Amino acid sequence: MSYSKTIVLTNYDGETFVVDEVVAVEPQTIEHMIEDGCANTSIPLPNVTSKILSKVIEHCKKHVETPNSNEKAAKADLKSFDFDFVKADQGTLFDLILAMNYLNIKELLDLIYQTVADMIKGKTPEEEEEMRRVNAWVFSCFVGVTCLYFKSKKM
Amino acid sequence: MSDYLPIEIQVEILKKLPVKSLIQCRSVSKAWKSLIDSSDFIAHYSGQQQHLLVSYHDDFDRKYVSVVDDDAFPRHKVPLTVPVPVDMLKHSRIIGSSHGLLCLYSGYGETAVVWNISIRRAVAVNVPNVGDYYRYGAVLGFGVCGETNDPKIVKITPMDSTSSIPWQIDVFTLSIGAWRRPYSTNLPRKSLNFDCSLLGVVVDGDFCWLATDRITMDGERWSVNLIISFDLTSEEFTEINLPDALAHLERLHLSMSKLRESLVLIQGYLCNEDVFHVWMMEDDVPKLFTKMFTICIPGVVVLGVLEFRKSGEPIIEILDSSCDPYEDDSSLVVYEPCSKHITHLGISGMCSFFLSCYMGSCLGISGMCSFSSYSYKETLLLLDHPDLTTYDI
Repeated sequence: MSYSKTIVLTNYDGETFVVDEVVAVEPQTIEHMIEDGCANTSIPLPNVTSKILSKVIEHCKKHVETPNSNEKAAKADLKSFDFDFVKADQGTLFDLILAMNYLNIKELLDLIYQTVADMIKGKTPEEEEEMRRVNAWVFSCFVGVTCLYFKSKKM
Repeated sequence: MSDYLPIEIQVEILKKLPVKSLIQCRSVSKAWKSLIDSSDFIAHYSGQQQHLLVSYHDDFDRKYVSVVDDDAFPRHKVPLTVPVPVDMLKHSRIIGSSHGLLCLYSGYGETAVVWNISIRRAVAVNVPNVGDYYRYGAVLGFGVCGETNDPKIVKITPMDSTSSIPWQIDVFTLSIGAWRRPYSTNLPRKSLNFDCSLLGVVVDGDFCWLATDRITMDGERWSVNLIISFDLTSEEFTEINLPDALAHLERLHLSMSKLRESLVLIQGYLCNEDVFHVWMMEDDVPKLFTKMFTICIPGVVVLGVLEFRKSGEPIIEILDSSCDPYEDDSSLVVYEPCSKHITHLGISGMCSFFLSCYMGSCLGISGMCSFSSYSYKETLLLLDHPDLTTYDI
């Protein structure tokens, strides 16, 4: 497979990532930047850390490289890749959400939203306790559910 | 960075939650409560998971069970607690189901109740002058407008010959909380006869009734079956013609359902042979109905086809085998058209042969059924309506 052009992405830490254009246009935000001619030197992505950006690039690569066929095996492979991809810790997941939202990668966003929703749905108070220490946002939810739990126990 | 997510992302995540979790999340913070309670969120939320509502009579009480339509179907069954307005309705019949709401009507007290199955909330609406099955009464329909997500009840009253219009149309809109008379240019023809005993179906924002038209051709009088649809957004009527194979059938041999937003007609000859044909309307093209499959299970009496699973398999009611059909129970099964295999849902009820006579419904092919069943997704509609609200005229 030969790519015509490479694109340079510069992230929050000033690090640069050289990626093939086919991979870089997966995120809609970057595609639009290239279309608008803002990508002559390098594309600045000030909102994304290098850890997250390399994860995003890994995801885009996988999706570009997987043949776009209706083949069942390829589809299943991509699905299991996505499934493993979102199996990250809370902090990474939330950074990913923000990055994906900024870069506008819709299909993966959907999957991450579902992952977070499932976290909110299936929590026992003990798990919430653990979660609360790790993350401040979902935390607010678990406080609420925990309060409910104790209220109902007292009654 | 991770301790803050923009509100629009929070909304997207909350939309992925089932209703039960959302109701819990309302207690988390004021911000979340006002977000979930906002009319925008209520109107645009629709649960991810498909459910199947089953209603049946047990000792003359109506019972409701919700079954999750997932891979484990029919393992996850939950008996539903009926809210007070629904419980108070005597001898009610179901008018329709749309967007996770069920609408029931009772002639005793002239009341319709709109019930959100997922959040146990119901509002009552006074519906006067409907009449009953035997008198030439009004026809009711219920559905949620696809554009505004506003529940509507429509009442079609036949006018006598002195009137300038064939039908009087009244529409109740829940957001306004009042009845009004919309201006319709294309009212159904006078010669039409709506079948009140049959449930209507909401397909793609249209409420559909099965009707018959009496026509005279070559000096002979004919009955022709057709479908009348009422667009819940524009409030206009459309006639949908049926292919000849269905248009000239005996009316009682037809019933209606839907599968993935397509209209489905079920043709059955209960008295002769237990064979049901399932026809689906293609791409909204009137007259273009294709026969999808035939339901025929050797040695089993099929009473009717009630609904379809998300996967397309029909939910059918069968008679539990015994010699005396008048004192028998019936049960619900899923039918697999290719293998002709049936799977029991584990819900049994009284056979309705006598019951439906008692309840006063006509004995069409669906009149033989004691069950009724609806596919639905969870909704928050009615959450912003106080419980026990009654809309009087």
